[in-house]
Amino acid sequence: MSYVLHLLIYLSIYGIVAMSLNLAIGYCGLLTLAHASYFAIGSYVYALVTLRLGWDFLPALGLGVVVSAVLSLAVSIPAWKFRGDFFVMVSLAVQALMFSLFYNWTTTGAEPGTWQNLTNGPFGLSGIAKPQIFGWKLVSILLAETLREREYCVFGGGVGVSLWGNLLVVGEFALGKVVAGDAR
Amino acid sequence: MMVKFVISCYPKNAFFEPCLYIVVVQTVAMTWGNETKVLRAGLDGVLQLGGVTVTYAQMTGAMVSVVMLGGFLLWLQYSQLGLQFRAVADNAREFALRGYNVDRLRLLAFGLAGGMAGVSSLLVAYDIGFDPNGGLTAVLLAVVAVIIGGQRSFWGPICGGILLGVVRSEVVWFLSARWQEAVTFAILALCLFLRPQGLFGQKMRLEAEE
Repeated sequence: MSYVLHLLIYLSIYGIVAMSLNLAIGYCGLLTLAHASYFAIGSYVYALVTLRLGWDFLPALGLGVVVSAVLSLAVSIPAWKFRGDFFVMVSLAVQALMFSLFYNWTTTGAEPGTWQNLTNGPFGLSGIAKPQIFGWKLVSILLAETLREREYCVFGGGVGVSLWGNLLVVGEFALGKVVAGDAR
Repeated sequence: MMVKFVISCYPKNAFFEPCLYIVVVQTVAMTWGNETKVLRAGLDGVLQLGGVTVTYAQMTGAMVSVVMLGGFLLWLQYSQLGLQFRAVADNAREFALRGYNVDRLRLLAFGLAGGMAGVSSLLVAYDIGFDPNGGLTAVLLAVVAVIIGGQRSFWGPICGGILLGVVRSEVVWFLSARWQEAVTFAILALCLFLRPQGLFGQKMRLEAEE
């Protein structure tokens, strides 16, 4: 059952990504390849701020979303003057730059999350705390299992999902309870 | 007739070709394995020219590419079909208005480009080996070279490729091999913003663009 829950959570997470990508590609007709880098920026911001600065869940969540949106806007303004193939190439350049930056911002020996080893390269950041909302912990056997999965949810590059994962956990309360109810 | 049929069957979505690419790569990997293979058996011979060390594979690659580029240039300049290709590059719409079949020429160009890519991939396979996933990196580098060199020009992509190769080697020398991609795409972004038509390209008139 917890595997199905895990699948449902990831399904919802990538559903959000697909929806946001559809906003750019489908509604606006901008074929962007740089979307994964904003995905990664949000998750890295959340992970770094909670790991190194000890921020709470909600402010870190807000900061992740804001930084991701602001950087996306900052890239989109100069990219505005390109059309067609050139827009695709600009977004590809942004994506490759960001991936390379996240993948290579690492020094062996330095502690993960410090300035020399910001992203820990392909190994990713681990040990992100479980979310607490105003000091409330989430307790339910199935939900606790679900939250344990959050701990290894930032990998390198475009795979980092902690931000959306944590956002989803909040939204998934109801679903989790329904699933739990079915199981018993 | 045939041309019309092929073109009408071809999906107009930009995601079709990446999907095709992924399917082909995975099929090749499943059929012949995922590991790197080398065409050459054993170590390569080495030629010493003063302080420069060149392997035979590199020399073969350089010679074949010079011959191919020279032949291609001559063909573009002096053959009837080459003239038609240059006309398409110059102003495809006007060329179509004069009664030539632009779609047929474009299909032909696509096939010719595939054949030339095959030759270069053979050279690479002889030099450093190949694996099913190596194609995308090479093609991305080629796209970067074309854009910084300038589309629709003959010498632009060549100079762009040489520039890119030298810069990437310098990055390995002065920084580290892992920053190659970052520097490559930083150059691409810089070039797109400062000179979108490329180093050797000329600005097109708006109505000639499609």
